Amino acid sequence: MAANTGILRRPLAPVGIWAWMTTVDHKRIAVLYGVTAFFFFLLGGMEALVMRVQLASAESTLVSAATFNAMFTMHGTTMVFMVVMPAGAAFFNFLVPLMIGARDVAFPRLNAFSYWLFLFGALFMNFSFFMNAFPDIGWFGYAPLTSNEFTISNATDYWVLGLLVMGVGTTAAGFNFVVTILNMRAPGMTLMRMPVFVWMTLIVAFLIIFAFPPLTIALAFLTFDRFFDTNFFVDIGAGSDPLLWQHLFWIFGHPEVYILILPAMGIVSDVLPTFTRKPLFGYSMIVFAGVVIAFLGFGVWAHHMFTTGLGPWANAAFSATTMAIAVPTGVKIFNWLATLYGGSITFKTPMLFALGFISMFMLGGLSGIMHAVTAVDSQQQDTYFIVAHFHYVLFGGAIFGINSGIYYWFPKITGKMLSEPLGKVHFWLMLIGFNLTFMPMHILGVIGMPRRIYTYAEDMGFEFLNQIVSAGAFIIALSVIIFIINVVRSVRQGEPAGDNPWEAATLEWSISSPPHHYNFAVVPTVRSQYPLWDENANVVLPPALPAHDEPVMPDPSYWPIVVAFSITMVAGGLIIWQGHAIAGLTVIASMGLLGMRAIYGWVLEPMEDEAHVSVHH
Amino acid sequence: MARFLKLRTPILTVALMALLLAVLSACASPQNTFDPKSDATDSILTIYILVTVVASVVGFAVLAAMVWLIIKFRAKPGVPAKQIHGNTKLEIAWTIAPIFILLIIGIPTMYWIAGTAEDPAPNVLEVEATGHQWWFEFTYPGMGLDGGDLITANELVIPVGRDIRVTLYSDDVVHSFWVPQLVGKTDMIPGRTNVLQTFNAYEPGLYYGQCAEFCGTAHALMRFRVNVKTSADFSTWADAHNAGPAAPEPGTAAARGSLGFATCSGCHAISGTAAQGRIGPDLSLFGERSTIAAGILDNTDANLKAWIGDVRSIKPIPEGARFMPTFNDGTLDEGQIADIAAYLNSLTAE
Amino acid sequence: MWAFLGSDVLFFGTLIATHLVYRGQSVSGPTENILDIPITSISTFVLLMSSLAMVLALSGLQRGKMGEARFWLAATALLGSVFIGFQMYEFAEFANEGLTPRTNLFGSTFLIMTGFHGTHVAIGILWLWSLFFATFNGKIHQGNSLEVEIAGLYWHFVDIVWIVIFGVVYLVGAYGAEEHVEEAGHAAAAIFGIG
Repeated sequence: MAANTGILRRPLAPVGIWAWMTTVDHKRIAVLYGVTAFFFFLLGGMEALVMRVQLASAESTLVSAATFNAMFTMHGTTMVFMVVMPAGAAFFNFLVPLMIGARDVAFPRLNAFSYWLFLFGALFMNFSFFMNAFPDIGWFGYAPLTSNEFTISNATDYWVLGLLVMGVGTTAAGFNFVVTILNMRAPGMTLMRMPVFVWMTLIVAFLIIFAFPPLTIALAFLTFDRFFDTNFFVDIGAGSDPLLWQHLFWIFGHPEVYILILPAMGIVSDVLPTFTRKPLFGYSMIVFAGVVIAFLGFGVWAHHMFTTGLGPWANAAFSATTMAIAVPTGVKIFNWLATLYGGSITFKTPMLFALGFISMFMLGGLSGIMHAVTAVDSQQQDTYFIVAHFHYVLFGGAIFGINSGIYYWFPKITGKMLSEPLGKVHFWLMLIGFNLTFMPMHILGVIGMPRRIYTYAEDMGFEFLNQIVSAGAFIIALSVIIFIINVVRSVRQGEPAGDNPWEAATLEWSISSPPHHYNFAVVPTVRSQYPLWDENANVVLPPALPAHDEPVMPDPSYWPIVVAFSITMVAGGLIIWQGHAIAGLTVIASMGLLGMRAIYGWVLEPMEDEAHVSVHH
Repeated sequence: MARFLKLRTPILTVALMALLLAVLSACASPQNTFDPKSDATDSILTIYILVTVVASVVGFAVLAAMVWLIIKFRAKPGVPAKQIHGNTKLEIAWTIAPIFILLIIGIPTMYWIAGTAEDPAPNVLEVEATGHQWWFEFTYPGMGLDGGDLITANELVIPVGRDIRVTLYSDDVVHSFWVPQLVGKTDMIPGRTNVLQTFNAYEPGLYYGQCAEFCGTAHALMRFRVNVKTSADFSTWADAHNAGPAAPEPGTAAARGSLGFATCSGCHAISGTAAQGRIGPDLSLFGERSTIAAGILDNTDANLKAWIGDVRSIKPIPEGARFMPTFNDGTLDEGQIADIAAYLNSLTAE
Repeated sequence: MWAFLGSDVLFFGTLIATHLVYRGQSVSGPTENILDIPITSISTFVLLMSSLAMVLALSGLQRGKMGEARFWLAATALLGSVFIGFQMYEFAEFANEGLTPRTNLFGSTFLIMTGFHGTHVAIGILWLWSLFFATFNGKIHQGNSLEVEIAGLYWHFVDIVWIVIFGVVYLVGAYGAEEHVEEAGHAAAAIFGIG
């Protein structure tokens, strides 16, 4: 039959490396995202430790200025694009179909494609280290420092192309989740019955599809500037304006902050009810506040630019919108606290991390309001106070929230429980290490330590606090080691989890741990927000169907990884082209053709292999 | 418990804040923003303290409430959770309450922003500052010879008690001009003209400044000093600057150095002499400066010789960047370098 | 698809905004006076006609008239190709007169913007031909006309983007509305501190 469009036979085996590389199962893709994000978390963490050792003493010469600059550039880029975003994606992938009662996402192969683009883009950018060219432009890469004139090596090329590749994958994932959530909910799963995590995913997906285009354009301009000598940011005398980059970057960059933090808010909103044994306080307000935050998030970008001389009008307007965003954020925090009221609270590890999230994120939010005040910002901008602030939001917020989610859903993902005692040690070490690391940074900012400096003079009075900070960083590292031990121990000899170890209320806990690849043997009908707690809501599922009646699921496909690979290699060809025109053009042309061929293969390939389908029917 | 927290939290917070402020303003850092030395940073600090207190009170109150809630409502056998779904009145209340708290800090903020748009005093001193990778250039329009520019570098000299308005430029990438004790930061952006907030220094002294926007490899070593002088001293300095140096006594190291400086005059200028290069920093009255190499080393003979000999051993200059060449590679011998150093440090106002 | 188009609006919005903000900032080389309005009007008309053809193709398919559907699909793709031809001719003319992306800001913003649009058209043409051939082996039929409807949605969108570019860049660039748009552009630029 013509159905087999591939050059190679379609891989159908359920195990082995090949199965993972061609999988379109949202749960496996989630695991891939999660494991990759954790790998980059370790990498980004080591980059942070290098910086902390360097800064532990004044006038330190442990690493060179260029190395240090590469460390903070890649630490920032890695943690934002290769850790927190894919960790969020891991949760979206695993949970959204389970929570809304679907068997997969709307476009399973596009989903795989997003992951491979992310992985290849991330590897591509980090590949620059092997080429002895370290991106050292800061994670927001201000023009014109990124131009050929000021960064001579092609490290910046790896950075800009890597981000472009990852951005395409992320945008595709955004579409995928919007469609999945809007179109694939089980009967009775109205929008206002969705778990808050699904709501936050929907908002994040919309943020992604509206915030990434400005970034893509900015990166495209920069790519053209660097490879084809255009004049977007470089030709200052001829009218180019470096501020254009800053506007484009932050129009993306501020919504990006909410892309990073909203998944954690969703996780916490679902963890709290389980461990207080009561419904979330003010569900609709929490959802509505998330929507308002997303809208306002597009109107605050210039608060990153108060010191660029926008003038009093712009500063006043953006100061006001930035303060306004504190209102919906505050509403969420108050509603979470009110959820605790009247509860029957048990302090399992997921709950501890959720409480850690609420308290640390709130502190980060408050310091954020401080630099919404332009006067104060003129003293805080680009100091360690800012570094402290966004780590309270992104580490105390996002990472604590993600940890809460890991402890909460690990049993569902693997079928094994994580150790509670080890989890508690992990939490307390991380909380203490986190505050030792980032609380003194506020004071360092106040006493005038700028960020991104690889050294400081002894008479500045920065040394003592920096030593505390560095010590704290190593405590965080220790807590991560304990987490690794916990995971390894659990995978080997963890207690079996059972379907619903936390006696939670949402749909994913109604099926086996780990779930079958088809998730739900029979798609459930939903009648309330907390179906498993609500006696009237009959979602108790019939037993799994006999094997020959299993639902037909999409089969694996190798086209997504091939398309992602060829796109990344076209970017690689561009870099080769700078040195060897013909070799570069050859790579670009051959990879372009391969990509086109693969797209056709993908489009014409049926979702289920016919050989496979015929077994079942 | 609840009563206690309600009453004591603000009081405790204020006490803690007072302690923190005392510690901070006593901190010996020369870039301490809580130790303002001008009207500009003073007015910022007032708002700074206000928002810090508001943020701390809210922060401690919410943390205390959370601790109270998790202790009070920890799981107890036989006590089931109350199935509360929400409370519209409460939720509206805590949507509106933050708006009032925000007004407390928002109104002074707007007031301050309006203040930055006000005109400075008529006797304002206009200065232009230009950022270069990795040093600062300062120009005083109209204060040089014959109404021309007076140009200096890396040490901004200003009179005490007079409004200073600095216009900011950049020659290459984005830099940021910041003197924490005198004035908040504003960026120096190529192709744009920014104006720093007008400030008026309280007392003479030497203040630390530093580039605050990442500007490439040696960003950490792009510093400067602001030398606030009395009006009389400031005039003396400017006059001496324009008068140029007296010819050094023949036969001294300085005299030999003044001839050897021909090697440097393509890039560096010394007002009143033949050296008029404008690529590198202006070196007029070099002997008056407290630091060399853009505020990173004390201006001592040994440091200066090391700097002239090999800047790359002191500042991490990437390959290919436009910066001062290395001279101890045979271009100049140790004696010649010592002579030039002696000449530079002989350039004083006396 | 609507989500994709929403995202693409931002994409082109950013490009057009950049072009407007940088308008009048080029210090050397040819700028807007190089634009050839009559020729571009013809190509704009061609693209508009292709949208009409697209509507007819879909309507044919929905009524099950495969011949009609095939004819109009091919017509849409061909008209799109004519548009691309015009654009390549225009770019070549500009290069002759010394305007490339490197020449000045106008060259960078104009050529990159219209180039991205041309790429969208080219992708659309590939898509249309794929659908055209798929009608022969039965993969596209009356029952799944949604496939063609989605392609049509994309095609109309790309068409509308062109109308905006033509209006904002060509007409405004060459004719009198100049000052007003310049004022509006500069007011917007002043608010955000650009330009």
